[in-house]
Order: sequence, then structure tokens, then C-alpha cells
Amino acid sequence: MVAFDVGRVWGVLVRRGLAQARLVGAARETLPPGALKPSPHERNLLRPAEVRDAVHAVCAQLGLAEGQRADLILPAGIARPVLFDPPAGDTTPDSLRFRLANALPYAASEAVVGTIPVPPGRVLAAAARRSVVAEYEAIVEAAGCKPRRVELAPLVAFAGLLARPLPARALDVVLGEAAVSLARWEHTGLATFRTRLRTVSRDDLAWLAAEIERAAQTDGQTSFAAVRLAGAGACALADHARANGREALLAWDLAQPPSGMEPAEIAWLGGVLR
Amino acid sequence: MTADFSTRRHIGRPRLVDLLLLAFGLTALGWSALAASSARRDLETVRAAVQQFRASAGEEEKRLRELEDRRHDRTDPLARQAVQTLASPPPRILADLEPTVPAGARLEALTLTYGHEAVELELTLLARTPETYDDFVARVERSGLFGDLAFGSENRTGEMKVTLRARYRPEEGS
Repeated sequence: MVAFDVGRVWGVLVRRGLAQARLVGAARETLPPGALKPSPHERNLLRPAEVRDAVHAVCAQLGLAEGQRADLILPAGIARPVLFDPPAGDTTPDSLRFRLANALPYAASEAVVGTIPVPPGRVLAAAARRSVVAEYEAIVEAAGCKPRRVELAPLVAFAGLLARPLPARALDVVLGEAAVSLARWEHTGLATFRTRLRTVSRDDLAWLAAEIERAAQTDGQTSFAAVRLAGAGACALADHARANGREALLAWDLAQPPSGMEPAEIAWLGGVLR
Repeated sequence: MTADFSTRRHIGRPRLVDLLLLAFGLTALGWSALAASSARRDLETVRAAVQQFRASAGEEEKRLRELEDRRHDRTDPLARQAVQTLASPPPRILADLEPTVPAGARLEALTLTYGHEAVELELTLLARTPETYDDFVARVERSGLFGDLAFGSENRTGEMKVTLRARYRPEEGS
């Protein structure tokens, strides 16, 4: 499984058992600044050769043979997931495309759409531009692997988080290097969901803390039980929240994480190891 | 796994649980096929037995019909004799004879001869007294089941042993 984000490429080997998946290997390569820039409609791999080399190095570290199949996890920022109630439970690709069309900065016919179920009866849907997905598939192929499934990091992360519901007025925050998704829980499950792009130049922690406060507001009042964090910068943001009197949890941990890996800093990890 | 955004068509590698379910499904299918095959064989065996029984019953019915036809055919004495045997079996004759034997008398011997026209009886009766013997004769005549009575020699002093011939006529009985 090869996962991309702005500054790094992760490769993980996952063994799926009957009950749960298990992480059996992990490798990471850092990308040079500007090599990958997630965007919903523009070219993402600005320096493809460097991204390809990073993927190749990750595959080599994991001992993947030439032509071995790999699933891809694309970074936050290439799609903006939306939480909604599908009319009459209709989640066919055409219906989703129609529902998401207005928010897409490209023709709906170019969208590849997908959902994850959000009990009770709602879905978290996202659309990715076909040409953007194809870029990542091509780079993995160029690195010697055979691309198979393609998933989106925020959807994988929420698949893991939804399996462990939070109490009402709690927040889930999934941090990608390019975008952050915030979801508020109510008694009936996920109540709101929104995604914001992250900007490197501003004071990221303060901005994220302000976004969390805003996401927690209902009827003009801030009131929330706790915040659960996963993804790039989760540990620092948890410390920041605790310092400001908020209860903050890290979404996942591993008993024996591979060296150099902080599980909570990888947004999609809990979803992959479900 | 969540939604697949792949732009390429691919066949996913099956998971272990999928393979196990597939193996279970195939085993169940194979077992069902064997059970169905076995049940079909049983059904065919039973059908063959039913067919054989029907054929045999048909043959018996045909034979009986032939015998019935031949019974009315006076030119076929053998058939009539066979029908006599079927219509008046020895247990039935004995059952009809039994009420005619009074207390104080008993049958010493009984010979049945199935003839072309009727069943001939030759019986030897031992009666304690002549009155008992007379009672027997009266009962036989009253029953109407026995005709053409022919009595042997009688010695009416004390215990009597008499041989008697008759024809069995069940269709004329009371």
C-alpha cells in the first residue's frame, strides 16, 4: 500500500486476517518541497521523477518485487468530501456525480466518485478528477508496481474513526498536510463535516485551534466534549489543545510501531488496520 | 477498504475470508450435488419397483379376468376347478361346517374334492348318541350350505360313527 502526502510517501505492508488487519512493514521517504501539491483539478505531481524515485525507494525498502500490486492512498486536498443523506439510499455513481456536480471545479463527467456509509443512513461522498487519480497511478507504475485500488486518505481515516464512535459534542479532526477535515458528533452520529485547506505560511496551530472551536459551535455557542485527532501534526495539536484546557485524544496507536512512525500522525492508518 | 477511485479496471485479489467462504460454498454445493444425485438414484429405484409392482398387479388382474371368463365358459373345466378353489377354500368350508356339529359329536375325518361343478365333501362323524347324530343331520340340512347328502350305513346303538357325503353350495346358504 503506497500513501502520498505533500512532504512524504509512505509504504506499508498489511496482512489481512479474519478479524483484523496487521501492519507487517512500513517505509517512508521524504519528498522535496514542491514535488507534490494536492489539488482537485490541477496537476498534482509537479516533479514526477522525484515522486517516482521516492515510491521506488519505499517499495525497495519493503522488498516489493517488480510488478507487485499495490493499493494507493491519495492525499487530502484532491477531493472535498461531503456528508449527506442520499435520496432513497441511492448511492449509484451517476446519482453521486449529480449530487456533487455543483461543487466540482471541473466537468462532472471527469469525476470518479465514491462513498463510505455513515450510520444511520448517511454517506460521506467524494469526487476525484480522473486525470488527477491517473497521475498517481502512472507514477506508481513508473516506480515498478502495479496500481490496484485507489482510496482517499480522509475517507480511509473516517472509515476507521466511524468504527469507534464518539459521544455527542465531540469532534474528529483528520489532518492532511494540504487539508483538514472536521466532523462533529451528535447523539445520532456524525452531524456535520467540513474540509478546509491548510496554508503553510500562517500560524498553523493557532489557525487549526480556531477551526476546531468554530466546528464545535452550535447555535452560536462553543460546547464540545473532546477532540480526537489523526494525521499530520496531530500530536502537536493535541498538546496545544490540552494547554488551552481542551480534552484531546489521539485517534490511534500501535503496541509496537515501526521505527520512525508515530501512528497518530498517519491519518489513514486506523482505517487501513480495521 | 473504502470506496475505490481507481481509473483502471482491475480484479481485486480475494481476501482470506473470501477464499474461505468460497471454499465453504463449493463444499456445500458439492455436498448438495451428491445428496441430490443419491436422492435421484433412490427415486429411480423406487419408481422401478413401483413400475414392476404395477406390471405384476396388471398381470394378476389379467389372469383373474381370464379365470373369471373361463369360469363362465363351460367348455373349460380346469378353469372352473381353479375358480372353485379360489371361491371355496378349505378354511371357509370348515368354518361353515363347524356350527353344524353339536356338542357330543366330533368330526373324525374330512376329505374335500374340488370338482368341475362343485366341491365334494366326505366326512366321518363320531356321535355319542343317535340323537346327537340326528341333531347334526338336522343342522346340516337347515344350513342350506350342503346339498346332495348321501348317508352311509348307520348303527343306532350307543355311539355312532357315520360316513356322509355332500356337496358344498355356499351361494345357497342362509
